[in-house]
Amino acid sequence: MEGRQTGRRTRKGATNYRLVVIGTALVLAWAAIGVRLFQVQVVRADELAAMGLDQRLTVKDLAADRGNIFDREGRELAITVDATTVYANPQQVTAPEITAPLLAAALGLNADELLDKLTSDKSFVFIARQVEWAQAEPVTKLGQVGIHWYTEPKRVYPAGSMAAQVVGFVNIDNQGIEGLEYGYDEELSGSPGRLEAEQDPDGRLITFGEYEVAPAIPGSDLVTTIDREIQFIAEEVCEDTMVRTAAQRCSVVVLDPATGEVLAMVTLPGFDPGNRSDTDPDRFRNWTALSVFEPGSTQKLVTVAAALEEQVVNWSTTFEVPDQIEIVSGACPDNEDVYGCFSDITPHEPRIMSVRDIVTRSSNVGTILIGRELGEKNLANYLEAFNYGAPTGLDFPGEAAGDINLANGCQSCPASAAIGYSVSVTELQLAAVYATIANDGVWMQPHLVKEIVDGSGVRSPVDPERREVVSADTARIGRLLLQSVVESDDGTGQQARVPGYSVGGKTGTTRRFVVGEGYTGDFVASFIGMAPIENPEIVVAVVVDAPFSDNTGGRAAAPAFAEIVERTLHQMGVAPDAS
Amino acid sequence: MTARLAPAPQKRPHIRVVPGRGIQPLRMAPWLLFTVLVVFIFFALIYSRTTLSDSAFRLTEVDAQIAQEEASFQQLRLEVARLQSPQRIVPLAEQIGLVLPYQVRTVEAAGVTGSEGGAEARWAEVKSILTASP
Repeated sequence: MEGRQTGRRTRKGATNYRLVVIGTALVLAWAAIGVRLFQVQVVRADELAAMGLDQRLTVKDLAADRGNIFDREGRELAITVDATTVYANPQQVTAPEITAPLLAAALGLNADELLDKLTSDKSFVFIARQVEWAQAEPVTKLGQVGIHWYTEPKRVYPAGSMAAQVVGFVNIDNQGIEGLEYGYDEELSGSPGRLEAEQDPDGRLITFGEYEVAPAIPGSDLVTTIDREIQFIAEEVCEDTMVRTAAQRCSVVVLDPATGEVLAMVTLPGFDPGNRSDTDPDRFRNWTALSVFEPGSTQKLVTVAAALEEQVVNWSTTFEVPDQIEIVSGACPDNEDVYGCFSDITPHEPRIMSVRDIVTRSSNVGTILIGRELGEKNLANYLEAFNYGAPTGLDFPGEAAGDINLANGCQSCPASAAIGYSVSVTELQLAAVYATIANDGVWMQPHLVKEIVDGSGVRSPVDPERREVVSADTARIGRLLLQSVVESDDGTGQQARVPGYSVGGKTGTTRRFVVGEGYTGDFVASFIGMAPIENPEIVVAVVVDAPFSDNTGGRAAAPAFAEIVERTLHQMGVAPDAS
Repeated sequence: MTARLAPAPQKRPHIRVVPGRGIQPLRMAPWLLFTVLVVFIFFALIYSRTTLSDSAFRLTEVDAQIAQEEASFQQLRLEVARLQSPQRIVPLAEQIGLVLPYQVRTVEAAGVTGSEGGAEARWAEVKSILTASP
């Protein structure tokens, strides 16, 4: 019995021992956990929380939507849509010889070039950038390892090549590099935003986690002054004119003289901004505002308007006009017509001509005589007042200033300038001169953007500069003289007549000047005019560069002017004012 | 036969019967309530976290759907603009024999003016669509 009790005590002792050990172990374990918890939750809490957050946190740049470009009626000229960019990580591609032809077939690419990309030692190569989803979708279903895609904005031009030089275009990163896209890049671009948020391993947002967003500020929209319908008419007529005359280039400006708004601005040949990879960069140039030429006879309006304004002549003042005039002594026998000897196009006996006759028949000699009455200084002043030699301030990048060459010592320059040589202008500058006459003598700054509308809908209309250059009376006489050019039987602009409308304008034919080459055998034919003449709604300038046939302003440009005026006035709903 | 002494009666331990008081429900009730509350809060917390997570997933899905609809809207807008382009319409019109009028007669009707609103009306219409887009 004692033995049993001893054994029981021994077992009890062992049990107690085990309990102590286990208890101690548990206490130690809990203590260890506690220590670890203390370490994790207190000592390294911030560090570990930051590490965890770092794994979950994602920071994304939120691209700002690029503003749209509209025509004056709110029709889209440039918008941004989502496109898909396909790329590859060649290090992940396991079977490039299989993947390459599959991708090539889906995306219409060259399989060999793709194979080169997929076998390169890079970890990122573009396969196709900014393709439509319909084209990219088959790629996403191929299930090829190492092929990825993402969505990015793409600029598109729904009107195609229409007004391409005006609207311009962006590069692959949506930065404007030509035209209004370039000139207004800052306004159109907006400001990118930033998103900082937690996401799970599948990239899904954890809404109750860290979340901070600075929204992107969308770019402003541009509402241009361009009228899509008038632009189309002008482009179509210009194209026909190029075919008819085999010209190298045709350009048109249509202005609203009352506001200075550019309704159409055409340079042909043009290009498609959405597909321009093989296009000659020369076609990107907006010829009407960026390139200058000697205006020739279209310039005579300035000389005559200045003389009328200064009251040195009136429309019925007469001159005895020979067919040739020698400005530089001894020039005429050598027939150096530009440098000191000036002639009318058609030889004639000296005759009495009124100012009206001089303008109607476009007499060079007669205009030089009017210029003499006006004086060199006055002529220079009026050229400047009509904005020669300075950009008009058109809201378009790179506008040319033109030039007035009345340097001291140039004997023939005043005479040259009176008839449109020794000065160079852009087509737009010249159109603005005619718009001044159409607008009762008030020069309106030509402009392409009607208003800028920011992302929240606040509209900022453009306020163009205006100034009076000549009186309304002078302008009215100027319009009647231009009408005579078109409607008189001896006028040089008869082919500019428009059934149902009273039209006025002036022809111009100059020899083409090329920097470094001088005058070439080619001509620049132009016609600038307005309609209806009493209260002009439009001013249209047509310049045909280097026409092969019908190379005068009256034959190459005047018919184009007439067609543009007729169709535009119908489009605008302007009632006919003549029988 | 040997007579044996009867064992002396042992002293019974001093035990007495205490009338049972049974389980005291009033004293257990707060603990029970507390336990239920804790369990309820625990599950409620789990439920709320699950709901939040679910909302997050749904939000992500809705975001994706919005992006898809927006892209679709832009594509449709592009298509409309392309379809309305005179460059597309004029050749089609010519194909079906439409020509520019040889002679235009204008009739002036008193009290009738040209199209009103023009750019402003059109722009307002476009902008209302744009601002409606997500």
